[in-house]
Amino acid sequence: METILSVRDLAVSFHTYAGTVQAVRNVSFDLKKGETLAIVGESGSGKSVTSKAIMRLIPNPPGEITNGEILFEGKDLAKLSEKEMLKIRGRDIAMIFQDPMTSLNPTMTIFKQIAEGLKQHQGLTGEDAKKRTLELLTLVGIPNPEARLKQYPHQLSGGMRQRIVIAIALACNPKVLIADEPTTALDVTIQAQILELLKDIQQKTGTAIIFITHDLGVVANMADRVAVMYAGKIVERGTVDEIFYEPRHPYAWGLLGSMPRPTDDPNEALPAIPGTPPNLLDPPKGDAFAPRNPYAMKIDFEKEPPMFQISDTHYAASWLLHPQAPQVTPPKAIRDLALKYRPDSAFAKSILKGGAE
Amino acid sequence: MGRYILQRLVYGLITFFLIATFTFFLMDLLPGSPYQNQEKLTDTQIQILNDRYGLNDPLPVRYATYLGNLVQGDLGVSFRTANRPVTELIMERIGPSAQLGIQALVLGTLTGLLLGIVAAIRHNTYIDYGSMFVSVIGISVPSFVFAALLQYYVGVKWGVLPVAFWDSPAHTILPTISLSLGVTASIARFVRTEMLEVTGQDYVTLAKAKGLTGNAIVWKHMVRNAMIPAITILGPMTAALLTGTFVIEKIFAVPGLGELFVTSITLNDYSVIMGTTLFFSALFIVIILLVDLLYGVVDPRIRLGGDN
Amino acid sequence: MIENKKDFEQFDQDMFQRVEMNEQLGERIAGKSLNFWQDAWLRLKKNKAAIFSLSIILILVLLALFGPMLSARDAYEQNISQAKLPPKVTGLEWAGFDGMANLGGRDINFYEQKNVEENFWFGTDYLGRDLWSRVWEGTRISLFIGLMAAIIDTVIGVAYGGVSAYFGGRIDNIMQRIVEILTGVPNLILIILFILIFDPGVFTIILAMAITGWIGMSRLVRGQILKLKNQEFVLAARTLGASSNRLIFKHLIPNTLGAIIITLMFTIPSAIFFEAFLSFIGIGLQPPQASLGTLINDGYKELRTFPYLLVIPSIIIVLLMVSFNLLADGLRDAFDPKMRK
Repeated sequence: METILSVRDLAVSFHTYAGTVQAVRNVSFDLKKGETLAIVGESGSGKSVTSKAIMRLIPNPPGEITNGEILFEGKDLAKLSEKEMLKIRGRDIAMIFQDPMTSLNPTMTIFKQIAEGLKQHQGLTGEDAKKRTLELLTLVGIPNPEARLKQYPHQLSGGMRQRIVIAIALACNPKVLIADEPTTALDVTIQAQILELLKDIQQKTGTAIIFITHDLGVVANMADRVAVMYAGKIVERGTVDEIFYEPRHPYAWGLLGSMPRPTDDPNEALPAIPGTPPNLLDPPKGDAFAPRNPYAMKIDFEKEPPMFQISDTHYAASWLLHPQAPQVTPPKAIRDLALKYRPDSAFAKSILKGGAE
Repeated sequence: MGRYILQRLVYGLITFFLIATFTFFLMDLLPGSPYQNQEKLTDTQIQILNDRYGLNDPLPVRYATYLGNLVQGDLGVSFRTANRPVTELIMERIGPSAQLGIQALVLGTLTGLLLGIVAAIRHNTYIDYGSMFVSVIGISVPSFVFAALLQYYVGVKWGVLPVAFWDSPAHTILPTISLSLGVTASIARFVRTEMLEVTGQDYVTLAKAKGLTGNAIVWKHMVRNAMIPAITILGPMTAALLTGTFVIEKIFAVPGLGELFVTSITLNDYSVIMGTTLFFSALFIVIILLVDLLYGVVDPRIRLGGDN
Repeated sequence: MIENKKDFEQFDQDMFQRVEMNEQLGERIAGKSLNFWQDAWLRLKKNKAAIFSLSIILILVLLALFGPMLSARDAYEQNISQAKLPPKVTGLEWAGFDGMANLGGRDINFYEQKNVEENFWFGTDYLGRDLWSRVWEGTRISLFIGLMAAIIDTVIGVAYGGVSAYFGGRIDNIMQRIVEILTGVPNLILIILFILIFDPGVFTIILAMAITGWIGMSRLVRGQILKLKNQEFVLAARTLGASSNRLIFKHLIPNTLGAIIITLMFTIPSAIFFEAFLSFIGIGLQPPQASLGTLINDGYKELRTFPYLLVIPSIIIVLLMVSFNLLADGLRDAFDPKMRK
């Protein structure tokens, strides 16, 4: 499938009065036409910064894209002038933000907020803009759209507001839609509705989606492919099945292992990842996850692991994949998943060979 | 909204009534005699004058008369200025004061807005530092010091503009600038803070993500939202302007209300002091009320009621 | 970045030894922890304008206390034969401290004309009083008024706002209605009326300013405490059985203190301004009492011939006001990093 957006060795730093924070460190990934790529990781792992960098929305100062390319339709977004970027933002690449309560302008009517983008990119005004706005409101499932045009954000519920934010993003039929934790601030029932809406829209419009989240349940539901971020780096990426059933990086194991499942034994403690993420003011050498990694080896503290290729689509940055590394047994939750859903995979076989503890 | 306006109105009236009462009893305690050349008057003459002005009646009677007259807009008669009604004196003086106040407010607000917005857009640049320097100076230099220096250098030394009096538009320039300095400074500071606050808001990031130009973001999204809290300083601003007119009118010999008030204090002209006090208080109360209502009109969250 | 299976780099096998996880390592907190005041002080120290202002204030305070001793002249002693001498400092003639003034279009050296041998650093006024001593005397009174007004406002404001917020309900309701009514009063007029009734003097001015001055502080304290009262850490302390005293003194007051100090710092310059203002319109301190306001008022009368009489006290009051305002700004940024702009 055709690649629409390609991020190569992207690095973003923030200059604070305590020093330089390397929020994103050499991140690379591709986004293909019409697919959904989920970027997962805990708070501060750099997933939001990555998405803002693609839109060139990193406030400068203090933030700065220090390295890398963001290739979109033959252009490197990282090097475009602010003026050229205006034509991309909102038209080719659009964004949905986390908190619908704060992402709409409280003193502007719904209609004006949607029509702004239409006017800017398509020159639509007056009746044309109104017609398109009504279409968009219908598309995002807002009942009685005519009545909403003159309303202000505070007159709508959180779920409705997020639909408006989505309508704003879809206004100009973007080729890429970046959804930055679009459901985190919503009630669970509303969350499901918004996720369904996004899937539905993707089917209708064929837009590619980058979905930023820390919620693995949402990832399983939405994504075609997944990138796992830790401490500003992508530590593993692959198809959603590869990440869920054949994960290779110990951080991915920890993340998946700490996800509660209805089948869990209620008497057993839910496994957690010990410790806290490293301080990105001074990132550790070697694998940033090493201090929290129960499978850590000497080399993890010395040398940064390269991306090891596991399959055409599956990559992970862990020294455990080096041929000299000892055979290890992943945590029970990971073993169970792999053996249950992918008994024929090389991963499952290697688990069986290593023997269950 | 209607209930709110009514409530504010009632509070305003209570405040005004309290001020009226307070002023009346304070005036009663005031030392000194209201008559010019008291020493030259005989006791009988004073008696006759006191009778004429009703000063011999018992306190409660005088208080009742006072309130009754007040309701009818009668503020009594000046003891000093040829028995002229206080209301008339005030009316005579409103023109220059209103002109001075409005000119200063408009000039100060416009320059303040400009400085504040530009400083916020060019945050942490020399433009920002420069406009904040101007505003710190504006807040720190007492208006009468600024006015006196302006009068000395521009009026006396360089002779560019008239030194005093209120005869032509040129005469209004120096007093207006002197009075507007404080307004400029406080508005610039406030607007800058609010603009910076708004800069970090999600809806501004969303506006950027829409691909809007910098100008559209600043004017359509930021300024309006930054201006809403800025309305709240119009109340204190009015108080500061009133304070300012007292000294500025004195320095530039502007025949306005402030000058009338300051002169009546030095002359112990009770009824004029009382009258102008009440007038200023009423003005202040009305402006605070208007600011409150304006806030409601500008902010749709208040105008259209709470959530949903 | 991506390694091909064939050309893996070879390492010493020892590198692939498992390392036992050190639980403490992951939990270690990076950076040393600072308490609120240390952190605020560190931030304040970085604010050059605030530190510079603090130094200016200290210098002015020292001069206000000891300045008159340096010239060894009394601030109230009159000597008509030495009246209206412009400032003169040996060595600073180039900066205008040359004892010259312009009278009727001619520059005249008043020291030669009046046969005065000694130098008056800031000159003398129309009664021959030493302006140097009078300026520092005036600064001392202005500072005293500013400080007292700030303290009184704080005591009343914190008590009123604190009681109103802490008890809430009906008490809060009644107390806030009173505040609402008082806010409608133009405080300047109230102050003027108050001073007219009582003898003008330092204490009358301080009291007059206190009548409505505390309202701002009380609103701030009430707002802060109401906000804190419902925050989780206070609820948590309450759930753990903390007493009222402990809540007030360990949780509410320390968290409000920053805001109180900032407001207090802004009150000082505004009180200094009010004194000068009242004295300037002639109802503040009365002659021969020296304050920055009366000095400016006196100087204004002689402005055309002897501008130094106005300019010198004006510079001092502007320095004071600028320094206090900048210091207060700096403190606000230091105490409340969120407000840091």
